[in-house]
Amino acid sequence: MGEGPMTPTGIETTPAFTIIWWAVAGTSVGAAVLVIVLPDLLKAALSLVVSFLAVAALFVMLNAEFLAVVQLLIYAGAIPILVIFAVLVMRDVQRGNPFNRLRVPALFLAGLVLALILFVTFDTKWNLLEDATLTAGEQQQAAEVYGNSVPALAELLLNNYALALEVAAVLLLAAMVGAMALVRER
Amino acid sequence: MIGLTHYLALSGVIFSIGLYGALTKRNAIAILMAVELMFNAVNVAVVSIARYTVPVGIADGDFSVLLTGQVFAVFVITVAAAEVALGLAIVLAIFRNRQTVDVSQMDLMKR
Repeated sequence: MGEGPMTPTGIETTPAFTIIWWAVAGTSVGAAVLVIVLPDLLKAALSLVVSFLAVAALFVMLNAEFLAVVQLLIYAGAIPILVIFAVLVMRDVQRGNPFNRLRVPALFLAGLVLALILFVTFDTKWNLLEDATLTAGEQQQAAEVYGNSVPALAELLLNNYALALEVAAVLLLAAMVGAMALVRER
Repeated sequence: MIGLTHYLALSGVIFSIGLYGALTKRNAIAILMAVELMFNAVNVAVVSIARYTVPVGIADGDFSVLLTGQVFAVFVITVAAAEVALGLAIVLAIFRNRQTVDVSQMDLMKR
């Protein structure tokens, strides 16, 4: 661990950062719970927006500024609009957001998955940047990549993953055409 | 200090909440929202792993591979957007035919 407010690879260690992190994390989890328990689907969709905004803040804290902006545009912007549009079109708001009969087995299964994830998280010996696996110069270079991540991400996306990027574009086109074909009036 | 395990535990909690919602909701739109929560939890996990761990290939001196997790997240977001558009279109088509979005009444293939 670094002595200053930042570790060698640029991770903040100030107490203020820790407090803000817990606040953001609590917001994202609380809003996620509200999405599930709120009886009104419209309010659940708005709570989903709050959860997505908190995750965008987490991306900023992880030095993923580009992803934070994408998160704001797509997750906090486009997807809730689609969902709210669908809720309003289907006029099922009065029926609310009921649970089915699987609540107890589902709670058991979700708890099991959570326990498994937590076990793997704490049991794995992560190969951390902060540990001695990198020299001081390499840690400095890593900090520079994270400090200005958008050009490096663009290079990665448009060189190493150019084919995948094109396939993603085709997938979006197919989804758009498919969605229009599905809802077309006959 | 906030470390990798904090992010992964948070991601696991959100994923489990989404999983619980996806399994227990009767409204198809609520299920889609729960699935979105799960996508988001996975994004937090891949981005935090990209931020904290040493990727394979860094020995060649190419430090942009540090951001490979963010590339994954970009594709997850793309696929999630396509999934929402198609999912809502399917729900809308079902609603048009059957006047309901309750998944426990969508049992045409069970009979």
